[in-house]
Amino acid sequence: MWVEQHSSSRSFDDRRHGEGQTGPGGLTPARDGAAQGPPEDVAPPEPARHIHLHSFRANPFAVRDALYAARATTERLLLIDDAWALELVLAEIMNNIVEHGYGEGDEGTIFLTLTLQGNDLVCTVGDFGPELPTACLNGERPPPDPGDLPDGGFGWFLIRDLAQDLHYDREEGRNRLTLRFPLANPA
Amino acid sequence: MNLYAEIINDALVIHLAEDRLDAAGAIRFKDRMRELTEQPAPHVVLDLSQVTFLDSSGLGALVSVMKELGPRRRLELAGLRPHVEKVLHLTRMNTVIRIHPDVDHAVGRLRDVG
Repeated sequence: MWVEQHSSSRSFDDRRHGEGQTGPGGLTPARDGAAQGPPEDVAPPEPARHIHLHSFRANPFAVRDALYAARATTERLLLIDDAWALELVLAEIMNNIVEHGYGEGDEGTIFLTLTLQGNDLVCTVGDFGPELPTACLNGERPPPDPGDLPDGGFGWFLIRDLAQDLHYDREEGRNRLTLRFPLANPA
Repeated sequence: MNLYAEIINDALVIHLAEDRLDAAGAIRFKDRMRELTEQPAPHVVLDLSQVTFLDSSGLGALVSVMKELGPRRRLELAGLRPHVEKVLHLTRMNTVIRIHPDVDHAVGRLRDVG
């Protein structure tokens, strides 16, 4: 059925890597049975509305696919430059989880949630890797010096530079980063 | 990873025919660049006009290639899309990597400078 092919149901169909897990970003638990549509809201009515929920293995190719899937949603909702900034920030956050969070050989699950909240698109990235070092968030470490020809180390610098309203919390072994971008056409 | 190369004037011009240079493609990009730059040419121009997305891993791969070429062979970039160029500006890597508007300009300038 054509209804099955819109972007939000595709993201639910991609939940095969995280079967049965409850996402850290307030994700609704995945239900058994593949062909069902998005689960109905279980929470009482509130302004926030999940429009994209995706869980996938922590490897660079799955991250790339997740970015493609998310962009289909964000391109409709954000200004072009914001959609790009969000894609880059998400790429840096999720590739950091792949490389430094779960680390090599451990393809844990990454959770990506996009939520409409007021006039903002709120993005949440969750994982169950080690705690994020505070130096990543507060910018204690200056960006690399271009003159040294650094071949790494720019990831967190770009995240801090481009992400708006970035928040981190850790609870019960779950890391969660939240950021938001203004909708191009607020309701 | 789709890359192809040609010699224009004294430059080895390598076209990256991908829409992104990112963490998933960085290693293969470096490997293919190593093969292609075995061609002895004093200048290497990387045409990025088809690339719309560059992340820090892709940027790191560019810097690695630059370093592997050594001090005597320059890597220069051409045809950067706005969001790719923005990554180079934000990280200030535009101060150490030469950027040309397009390949024609790059090889023309190279002939003048070389």
